[in-house]
Amino acid sequence: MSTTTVELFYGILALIAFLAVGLLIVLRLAALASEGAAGAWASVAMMIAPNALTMAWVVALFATAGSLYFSEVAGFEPCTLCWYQRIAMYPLVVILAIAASRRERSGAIYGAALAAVGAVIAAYHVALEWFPALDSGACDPDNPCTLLWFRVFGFISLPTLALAAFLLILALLAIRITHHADQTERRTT
Amino acid sequence: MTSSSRGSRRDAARARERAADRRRWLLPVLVVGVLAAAAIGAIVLTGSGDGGSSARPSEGPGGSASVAPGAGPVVSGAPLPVFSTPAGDPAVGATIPTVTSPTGSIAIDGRPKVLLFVAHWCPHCQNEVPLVQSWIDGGGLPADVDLITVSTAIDPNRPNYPPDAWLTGEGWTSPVITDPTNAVANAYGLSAFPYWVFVNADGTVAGRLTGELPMADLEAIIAGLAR
Repeated sequence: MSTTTVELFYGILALIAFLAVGLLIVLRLAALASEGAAGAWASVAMMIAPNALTMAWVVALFATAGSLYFSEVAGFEPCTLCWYQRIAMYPLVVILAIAASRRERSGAIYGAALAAVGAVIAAYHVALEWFPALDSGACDPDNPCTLLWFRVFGFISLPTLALAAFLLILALLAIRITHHADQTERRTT
Repeated sequence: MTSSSRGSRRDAARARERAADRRRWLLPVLVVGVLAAAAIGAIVLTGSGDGGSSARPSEGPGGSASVAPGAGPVVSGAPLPVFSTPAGDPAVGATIPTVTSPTGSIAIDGRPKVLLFVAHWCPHCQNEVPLVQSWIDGGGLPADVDLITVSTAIDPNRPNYPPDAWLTGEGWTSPVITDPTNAVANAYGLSAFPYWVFVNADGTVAGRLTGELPMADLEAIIAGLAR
């Protein structure tokens, strides 16, 4: 399998991730305004919540595998911001695996915190790719963070892949955390 | 809230839980389906050549451009210190190293010079090159000043390779010295891209800068070069 195929594979996954996160946000917002949407949101949340930790772990696993493929097989040297995103993503594979196997809600909270940090760094990295002037205005001669290894579909680059993964993990874990809170609230009323 | 409406909400919630239980198999199927669809899509798009915008000519871990022995530039003279900041730059007033190469030269020939070091993979260089070219096309470069480009840090595994094709595509008209071994960049103390070295007519360094330079600033610096 060529590097271009892997880039496209992850590019398609990122598109689906962005779409899924967008739909979840729209449905959640609609649920605040409409009774029907609230019912639909409750059904979706109820379906996702019990498996959210496992699904988030799958996303982190594929993101980590992709990160290692691009650096170790394709030879795309990670820059400083790439390393910061790795620091946020790699531990998620372990944390979410343990949390999913033990069905621990606290794991979702730790995971969401890491994913939020990673999403902020990835968003800044994406912005830097589109607007290189945001940094010092010059390229580091060794490995600048503005270096664009590839751009699938005209906008999906390496940090965009990371951003999609962080956002999807964040959305899944948020459902897991808030759904538990909803259930607790329902039980006490 | 009445007890009957509370009861009906509880019933609705239980019904949703039961429905969610029945649909539990959906999620694993959905995950596998998404992965399969992405894999098939990637293979199909690779075959059709759509989607990607990778500019790499080859794959595999990095390396520098292969250079035939003796094909690189020859540098003579004391190297300049590595550039850090324009204020108090120790290279100012020092004599530049001279360069001879098959594609161009940097000599002390009584003409002021602007040396622009670029890397094909650097987005700042990619931004700056068309701006400089349109400035040249508009008659911005004085006739008594030479603008010489050094194409360095060449890496076939990085984007926008090869640099010759990039510069040709931009309609670049200035002489280009190809620096496949980074010998010229090292001799001039390059620390970032794009890298500018301004040279007086007597071959001494008037100043050095890094980064994207507005054309108005470039004109002001060139006007200050000793003829």
